[in-house]
Amino acid sequence: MSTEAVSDVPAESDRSGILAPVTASLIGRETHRNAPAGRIKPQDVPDVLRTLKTESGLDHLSCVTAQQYPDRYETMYHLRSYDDPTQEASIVVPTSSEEPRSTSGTTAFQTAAWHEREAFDLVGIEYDDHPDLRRILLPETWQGHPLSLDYDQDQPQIVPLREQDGSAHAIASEGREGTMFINIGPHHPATHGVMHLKLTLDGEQVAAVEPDIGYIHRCEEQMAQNCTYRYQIMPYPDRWDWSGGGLLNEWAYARAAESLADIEVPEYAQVLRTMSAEFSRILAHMLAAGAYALDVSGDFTATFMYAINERERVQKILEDLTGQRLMFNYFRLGGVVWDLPEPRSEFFEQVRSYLDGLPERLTDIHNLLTGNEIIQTRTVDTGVLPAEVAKDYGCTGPVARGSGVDYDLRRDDPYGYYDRLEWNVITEPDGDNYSRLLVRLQEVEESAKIIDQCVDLLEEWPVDERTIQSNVPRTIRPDDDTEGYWAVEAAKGELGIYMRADGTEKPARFKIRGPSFSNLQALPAMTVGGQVPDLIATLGSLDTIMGEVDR
Amino acid sequence: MIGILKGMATTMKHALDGKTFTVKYPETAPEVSPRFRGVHKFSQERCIWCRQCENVCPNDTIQIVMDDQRNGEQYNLHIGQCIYCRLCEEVCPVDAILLTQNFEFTADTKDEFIYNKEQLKNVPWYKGIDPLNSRNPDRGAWIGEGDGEVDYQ
Repeated sequence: MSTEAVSDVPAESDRSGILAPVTASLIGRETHRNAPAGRIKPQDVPDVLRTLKTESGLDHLSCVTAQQYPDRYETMYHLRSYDDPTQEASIVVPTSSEEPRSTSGTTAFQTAAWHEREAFDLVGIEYDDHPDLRRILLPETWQGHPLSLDYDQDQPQIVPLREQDGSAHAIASEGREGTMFINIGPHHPATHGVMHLKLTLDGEQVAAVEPDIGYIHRCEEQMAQNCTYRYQIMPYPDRWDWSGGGLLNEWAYARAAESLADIEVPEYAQVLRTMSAEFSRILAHMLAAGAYALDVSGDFTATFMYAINERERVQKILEDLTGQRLMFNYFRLGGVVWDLPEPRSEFFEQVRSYLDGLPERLTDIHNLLTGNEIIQTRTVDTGVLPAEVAKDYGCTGPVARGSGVDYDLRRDDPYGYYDRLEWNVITEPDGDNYSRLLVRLQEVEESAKIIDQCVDLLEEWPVDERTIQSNVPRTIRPDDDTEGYWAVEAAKGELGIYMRADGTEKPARFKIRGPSFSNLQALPAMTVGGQVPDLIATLGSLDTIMGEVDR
Repeated sequence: MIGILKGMATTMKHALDGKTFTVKYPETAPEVSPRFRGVHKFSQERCIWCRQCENVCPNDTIQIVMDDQRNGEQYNLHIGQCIYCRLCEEVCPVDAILLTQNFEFTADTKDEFIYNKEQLKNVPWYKGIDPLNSRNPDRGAWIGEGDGEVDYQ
């Protein structure tokens, strides 16, 4: 984070010229490990973001990170391009310690709204021109901002009931006569966890919907900041997205930490990672498809069982490989913890027989689910999310791909062994609930292709080159002030992690960009004007896991 | 209509093929993978009280008490708080703590899950699976115990 005057920037840091259109607004440069970074003044935020969006093609605001230094606050906008995610830039907005006041980027990117609310909630930066600056994860009456440096953790948070804001209905139905206010959740089966939808109905129509999140905020970011890089953080990513996507989440942390601390990963370990991560994706997508059937109609209990049956087969394989059925803790910095179980031939046989039976079982699931007229009636042309809106809300993963946005970090920002394997990115053009379901089921097929190729590779791998971990010291201390944002394609989309090191063995700031957080934000755009049952169907199709929304 | 009939045909096909996917627990003990991570087993004979496991534990599940001579007095592990990440086993230089395949544990209150070193020693092996042998066959040589069968008791 060395700061230099604009004039004597090293030439290579701006090699891509990606920040060129906004040079006039820059008040300094920073060194981020992943992308060129520039500092701007708070009042320039909307203009700079808009210019970068239109002129540099950075149309994806993946994440907003806020943090406090001893002498200042910082808001960071991590931007990248949907067409080519390797084109990225970070915009840093320093604000003073005394009065942390910045300007909102919502006019340039809708998705900034929730991210800035989170920054306000947890760190305490205020954003001018923000349409709705309220707490998002913590209760409205919370005292203090937990990730700020002077936060007193022992402060009592006792608030009488009368202080609680009961105005939800009043706000939601303002200016709408004759509407009805309904709560869906926080304990509604279709909310997949604990989410609360504040719903305003005008007759049968949804007039307004506001997701109220934070019910299972578990301080994951702060927990990671209290854990050591080398071992302690890795078990936790499994618990962000608990639907089975654990290995994909672990990869997000592994990628970020390995990039931050310059750790090499042996090829063999990369193949193991790729194979196991794709199994993890099958797990997650199978739960999504099975549970979605239940969301849409209770008649699909049998379909749910078929999907769970499929998961069980994968879980058996992953249990043999990683030792656990959901909370794998299989990746380590610099590789993985175990080689394939012995005897290897038996394991390969197990995987092969799984893959051989998969097409037939997928046909069964298609017959039960996607071919069924009830599902089609409920999902085709409901919850439509146009590609432009999806981009504006920072949607990624199957939600974006179901809207025809061809964005997959496995291919576009390659890591692991993906770029050396033959597989396709699945997209569907329609953007409705049905498309998202189709995308997930087809991605299972693609995952199977990837696994098949990995097994071929592993079978032929020379015995003396099976290095599962590079030589990583027991304590890792990345250099002071190294920072960066890295992401991988998790089950729900782009799972990114921003990390800043301060020279100790624990990260100074650890920010998680949960893909479901951004995807869920698009819910009102997809459902307002529709009917309540379609709202439930749409919510289910987003496949949000509240663990990574609330973190 | 055709779609619904196809779905019914699919369920009928599987209803009639006579295959069961589940086992009748607890009459039938399920197969558990040798790498599976269950309740810990601790060996005081092996432990050198280096406190690596206590240090690496992500959520302070292990609590060790030593006297001023650095002799171990207590080894407490809260098996209800543990997240079963197996990091303690991984960092232990003498394999004094292992995660067995045993996943069956019950108690009336959560406090009863705080196991002391005697309770940890008495955790039974699951189906006689030796976790160390199945997970790290090379670890035995590393600690200089030869190639033969190892008796952890």
